Amino acid sequence: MRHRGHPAAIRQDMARAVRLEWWNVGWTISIIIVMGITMGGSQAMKTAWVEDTLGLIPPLVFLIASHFEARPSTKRFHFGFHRVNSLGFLVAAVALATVGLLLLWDSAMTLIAGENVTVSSVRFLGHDIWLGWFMLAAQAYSIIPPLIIGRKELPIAERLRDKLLHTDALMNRANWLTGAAGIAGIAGLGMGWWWADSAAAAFISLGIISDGVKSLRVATAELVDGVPRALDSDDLSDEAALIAKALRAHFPKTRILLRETGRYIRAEVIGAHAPKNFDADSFDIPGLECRWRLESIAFHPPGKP
Amino acid sequence: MVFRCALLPLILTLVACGGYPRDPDGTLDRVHSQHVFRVGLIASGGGPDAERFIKRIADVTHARPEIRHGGTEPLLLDLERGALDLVIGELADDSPWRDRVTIIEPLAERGTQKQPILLNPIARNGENAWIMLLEREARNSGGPKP
Repeated sequence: MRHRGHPAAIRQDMARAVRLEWWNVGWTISIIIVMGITMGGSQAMKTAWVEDTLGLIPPLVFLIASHFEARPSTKRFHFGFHRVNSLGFLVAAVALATVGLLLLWDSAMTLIAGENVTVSSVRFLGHDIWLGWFMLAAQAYSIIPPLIIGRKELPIAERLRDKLLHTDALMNRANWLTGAAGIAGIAGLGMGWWWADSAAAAFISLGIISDGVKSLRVATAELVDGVPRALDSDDLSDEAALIAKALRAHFPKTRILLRETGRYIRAEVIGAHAPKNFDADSFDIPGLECRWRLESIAFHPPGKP
Repeated sequence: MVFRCALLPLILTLVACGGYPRDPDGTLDRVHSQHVFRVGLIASGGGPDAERFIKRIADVTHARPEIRHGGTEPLLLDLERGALDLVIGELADDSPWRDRVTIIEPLAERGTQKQPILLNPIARNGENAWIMLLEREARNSGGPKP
């Protein structure tokens, strides 16, 4: 059993992901400041600001989880800290779903109430400038970092089988889409279309809620020892299927149970003694490329529940 | 990306054409075309500061004010439903009306430092072009004297 540090195969990618998340935190804080300065009385800008703040949760949780995950097992935590990643995944999924619901609630309320939003002006160097221009600039700025960071995260999350990092990529997607909707909304507001802002936001919130709910389902499945799921859906993981197939072929007439702890898969063979000199690391699993994913194979001899 | 590329020329075109931002209910356009703007003066809101401000607006819009006097609630309700374009009056700093209508920068101030009572022009929410014009003229009027 590996209970110390990250496997060598993923160490480089883990370091890359940690670096990327530090950048993510830094840029997100700068966006929160810029949006905070320009938001004024606009409810749409306030909602975007709250969302940007919620966007800090997944990268922070990832940094905490990756720190704990590498720790060795202790007297009080016999199985190590792999599941901190699962816990972080649940927290990030809740944050993502909250962003979607918040956006939908806010825009639906504005549409129902038919609220006309005032965006006033400021005097700057003797000129009266509509605050909408500053809001547009802030929104444009808020789009760029999540667009770039989210795209960089996706391939790393795939290689690391990291659902928490994947959820953060979805959060970044949610944030830049919200920024784009905000731009359309404020530009529309300037045209005298009071509903533009809310309509654009409501439309985008549906996609975010769907991503958030999907992540919540997978995170819950992981925490209640469900069968390992794929990275971006509730479907079963291909790698888990390969492991189950190989174990079934080798230990017929047994039950094979699989669960996931963070990025690792643990297998149990029910109704068989462990063969002499059995080594889980060298057990042949045709088609499984990332051996590091298989954390352990445990055996329950026949006759025991 | 495509979205942003399409948006930029749209915004530039709008700016080039002028008239940005625009009013959802067309207040400024109506004032310009009909040469009239409807003002509500809250009982305590009359006086030289309000009169000077109304004259300023009349001069820049080339429109004539149609002035009504009344209590705070009836005038603000009329403003909210679009029966008035501008209300001038004194509102407390924590008045609940501050969310329902747009309070423009003050023209004058009285009361204590802790609880100032400000004489504000007040506009209907969202009429952003009209509000910008009122804000500009309130600033040009110099605001409350210290």
